[in-house]
This record gives sequence, C-alpha cells and structure tokens, in this order.
Amino acid sequence: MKRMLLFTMIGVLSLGAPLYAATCFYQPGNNNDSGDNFYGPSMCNQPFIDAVWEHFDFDKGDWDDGFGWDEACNVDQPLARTFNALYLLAYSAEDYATSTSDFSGNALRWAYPYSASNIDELDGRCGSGDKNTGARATTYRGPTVDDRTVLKWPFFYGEVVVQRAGTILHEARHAAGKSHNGGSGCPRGKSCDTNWAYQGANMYQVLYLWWFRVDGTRTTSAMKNWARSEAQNIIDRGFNTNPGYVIP
Amino acid sequence: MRARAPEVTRGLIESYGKTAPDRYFRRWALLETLREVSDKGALSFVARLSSSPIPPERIKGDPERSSADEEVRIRIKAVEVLAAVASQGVQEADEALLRLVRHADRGIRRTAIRGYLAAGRSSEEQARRGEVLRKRLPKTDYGLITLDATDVKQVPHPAMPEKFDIKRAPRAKN
Repeated sequence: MKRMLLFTMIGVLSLGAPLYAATCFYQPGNNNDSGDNFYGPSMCNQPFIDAVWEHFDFDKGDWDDGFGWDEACNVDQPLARTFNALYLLAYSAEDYATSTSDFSGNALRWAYPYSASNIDELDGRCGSGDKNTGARATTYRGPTVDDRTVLKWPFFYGEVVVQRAGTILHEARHAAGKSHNGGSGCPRGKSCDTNWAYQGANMYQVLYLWWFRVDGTRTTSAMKNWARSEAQNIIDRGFNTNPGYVIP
Repeated sequence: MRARAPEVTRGLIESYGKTAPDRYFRRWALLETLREVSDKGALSFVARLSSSPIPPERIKGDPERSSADEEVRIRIKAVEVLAAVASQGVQEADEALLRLVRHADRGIRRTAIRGYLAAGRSSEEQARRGEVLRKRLPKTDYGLITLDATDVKQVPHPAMPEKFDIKRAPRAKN
C-alpha cells in the first residue's frame, strides 16, 4: 500500500520563501519478493542496530522525518531496508567477521568490514522519489566535500536485499577512491570497468555476489539464485573486456 | 507440483502476464519456478519471451543501473526454461535453443549454447551437438561451446590486509 512519506525538503531563500519542497512516497511493493520480510526479524535487534549505526556513521538528521529513525524495524521505510542489506552483508558468511578490522577470508567475509572502513557515512535521501528514476546511490569523496554515500529511492525500493548489499560494497569501492574507468565501452554502456585486473567496483560486487551464491548462509535459495544472476550479468555486461567467467 | 505440471505452468504464465514490467524479481522468480516445473506447456511462451526485443530503458538517469540489464537477465532465465525442457528430450525446445545461439547478447547466446549442449544425454550425443553448434557459430564463439564453469576460488581476488585498523579523520557531526 502506498503511504505518504512525511519527509519534506524545504530550502529557504534569504527572503524566507521556500526554495523547493518535495515529498516522496514509500514504494515497498511486495516485501516477501524483496526479501525484506525474511531479513527484518533478524535485523530488528538493538545491539545490531547500535553496531551498524556506529560502523557507518549514521546520523539522526539523515534518517528522520519519515526515513525510519523512529521506526527502525519497519521494513516499508528506507532505514530498515538499509539495515536489512547491512545485516545480509554482515552475517552471510558462516564464520562472519566479528570485527571491522578483520579482512581475512573470502569476499563474503570481508565485504562488511571493507564497506564499514571505506564508507564515511551513509545518508538517506528521496532522490527522484521514484524507484525507477535517478541514481540508486551516490558516493562523494574529496578534499572539498563531506565524504559520504547517499542512498536513494531506487536503492530502497528498486532492489532486493542482496542487490542492496552488493550496491553498498560497490559504493564502498568508490569511496575507497576507485572510480569506473571504462567509459561506455562495455555492453551495458555505463558504469564500465575496463577489465577484471582493474579491481574496480564491478569486480568487488561480482565477488561478493558470487561468494554469496556459493557459500551464503542465513538466506533463501531465491536470494542465492538471484545473486548468481546479478553477478553473471555484471561479468557479461559491466566490463570492456569480458573476463569470461561462468558462474555455475 | 510436478504431478500438476500443466496446470501449474498455465497459472505461472498467467501470473507473469499480470505482473508489472518493473517487478523484475517477481518476473524472474516466476520463470525460475517454470524452470523447476520444466513442463512442455511453457515452451511457446518462453521461446517467444527469450527472443523478444529489449524494451526501451525504464530506469532514467541512473549512471549505474539499467532496466536493459534486468530484461536481459529475465530473457536468460527464459532460455534456462527452454534448456530444462530440452533436457527431457523435447525436440521443439532444441530447435528454439538453436534459434538463439547467435543472439546479439552474449549471456543469452551462451545460455542457449550450453542448454543445447547439455540436453545431449551421452558424451557421444554431446559431441554431435557440439558439431551442430560449430556449423552455426562464428569461430569467435567456439569458446562458448562447453559446459565448463568457473570456480570462484580460481578467480583473481584483491589483496586484503588480514587485519587493519580503521583510521578516520575527525569529522563534524550534523
């Protein structure tokens, strides 16, 4: 059911008149399909929320006014959907990392510590306010900007939980200073990396999804199959030189 | 479910038709279920879907995400349904797969090639199918005529420090 989101962005001109105002609406769709109902009960515990709040430097001001700060377990709202992705990112390895400074093991294990170490803060915004329009996430980094990763409507409502987890790791790679270097030279024509050896965001995302497919736990077979499909799609369409990998 | 395969297949196809185009996971999941059911009754539907053109881009203004990617994934899943039906010795499914082995999208043609190859029930039959494929494919695609897959452990990984301390510069809070 579509519900009105209370979040309203209002800028004020020096004269005091509104510069702009925008209201966005929740678009949860089917929370069984997206996996949010599956992960929600596990995610919804205070110690976990406290931990991710600190690791990703969440701020109340970026997640209140309808984004979920006061309803952190409501999976219709952006914050809980982000927590679900972080839960999947943190706990999908059987022997998951228990410290954000532990990078041992495979991508399934180091994805969460890597993301927590490289993303300066996670913010929620409406963006376009439509799950099919605009960027899902944008990472800002540099000497003259506030380093941050901003998650938007297509992230919250256009991706299933495992896709969101892959997106967070992808953005973490950008936050670490690795931009796409392939221009529009890959089959999908955007966000291309030249090749696997570049070790860009596409490679990191593929590795996570691939290991999730192979060894992911505390999940569903549908999430694992979808992860395989997503990873294979990036292999085939996200590199200027196809690495030639086929995921079984 | 298999005991009622024709009825289940009809229901799944009907549900697919009622699903909004931008519900990619639902569409994909319906096809995955069709693959598991593997009923011959799905043949014309998935053959049509797998060769249908990719619709115009629906995701506007996202530098990272594309509806074309989602549509390709859905068509690949449709080809997997064809392959599952072909594995039961259904010749029409073989023919549908062969029509896709020169598809413009690499993922679609690879899935069709592997599906056709895998439908051979003996190594001799697979070898014969390999010859059929060689006659149809350009030499540049001969490498796709295989059922080999990649072990993720053999793929180059980035070097990670076993341990490292997070050091962040102090930052103003909101």
